[in-house]
Amino acid sequence: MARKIEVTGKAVIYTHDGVEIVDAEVRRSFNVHCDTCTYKLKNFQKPHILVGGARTVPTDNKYAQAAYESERIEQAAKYASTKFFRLMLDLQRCAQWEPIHPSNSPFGWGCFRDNRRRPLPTSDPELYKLFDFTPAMIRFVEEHYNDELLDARSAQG
Amino acid sequence: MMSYSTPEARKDKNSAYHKHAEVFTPAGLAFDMILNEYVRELVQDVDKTAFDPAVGQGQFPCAELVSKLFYNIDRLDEDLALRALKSLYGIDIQESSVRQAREHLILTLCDSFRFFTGKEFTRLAEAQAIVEENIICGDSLKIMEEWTNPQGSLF
Repeated sequence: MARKIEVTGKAVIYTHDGVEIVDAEVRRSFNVHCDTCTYKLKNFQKPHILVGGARTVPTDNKYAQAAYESERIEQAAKYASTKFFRLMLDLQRCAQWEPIHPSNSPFGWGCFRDNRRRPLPTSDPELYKLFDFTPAMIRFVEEHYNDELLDARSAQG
Repeated sequence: MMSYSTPEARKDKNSAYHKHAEVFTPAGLAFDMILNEYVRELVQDVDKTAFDPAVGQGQFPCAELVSKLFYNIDRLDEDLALRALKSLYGIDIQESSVRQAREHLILTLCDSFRFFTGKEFTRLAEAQAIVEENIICGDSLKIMEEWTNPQGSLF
């Protein structure tokens, strides 16, 4: 049974130590420590978007855990009040998950951007720009999480 | 929905974690990854296809689906939602996981459509047919060998 799957040039790979986003062309030289990852990856030869598939997320590495721990708490405090953050929680709810606050997530949003080390901005406009939100998306978020508007509506009954 | 294996499951030698190396992705992580700039083109183009060779409970296709609908919110209707669903593929070796992934995708489609448009999604039979076609049970490594062309590349 053949299916045509569209491909692009990046792969996303999970390892025991977290997530690495690598160019698929260099994947062969990527040092994969996990048996599961190796098993899942061995037949891939061409660049493509590989989502999941090579994942072994829980880590037993206490040093890696500690690094994530401090970073994610810092991240959470910075943008917990943004509309963007509230949107992310609701998107998770849409996907039938218990929303995970970044401080409770093994990684926290944005922690692995560019190999997990570039901090995210904390203002909504900057976040919209960073995530390429279209005007329609921004309008939705601004209206959906406008507290003054929501208060006025609830006051009207 | 439990999104990743618990420490207890990892200690239990009879668990799916040990029998099938079954480890589920944390929810926040799936979204984080999908919205990352490296794969954002996937969600900006509603027809761009994605394939998860070990789909599990469907965390990734679900995060992709929600993100695709959101990034195309200005023209979101039932047709577009079905197109987005149609672009998502997955295989898992566990029959129970495939069933969960299919159900998960349908529920996610309904919830996210309601969230973004304020309307109920009505074309459930079509959505069901799509997930049964696109999320299948099997050994992805063997199936992908069948896809490999004579030059030895997967795509």
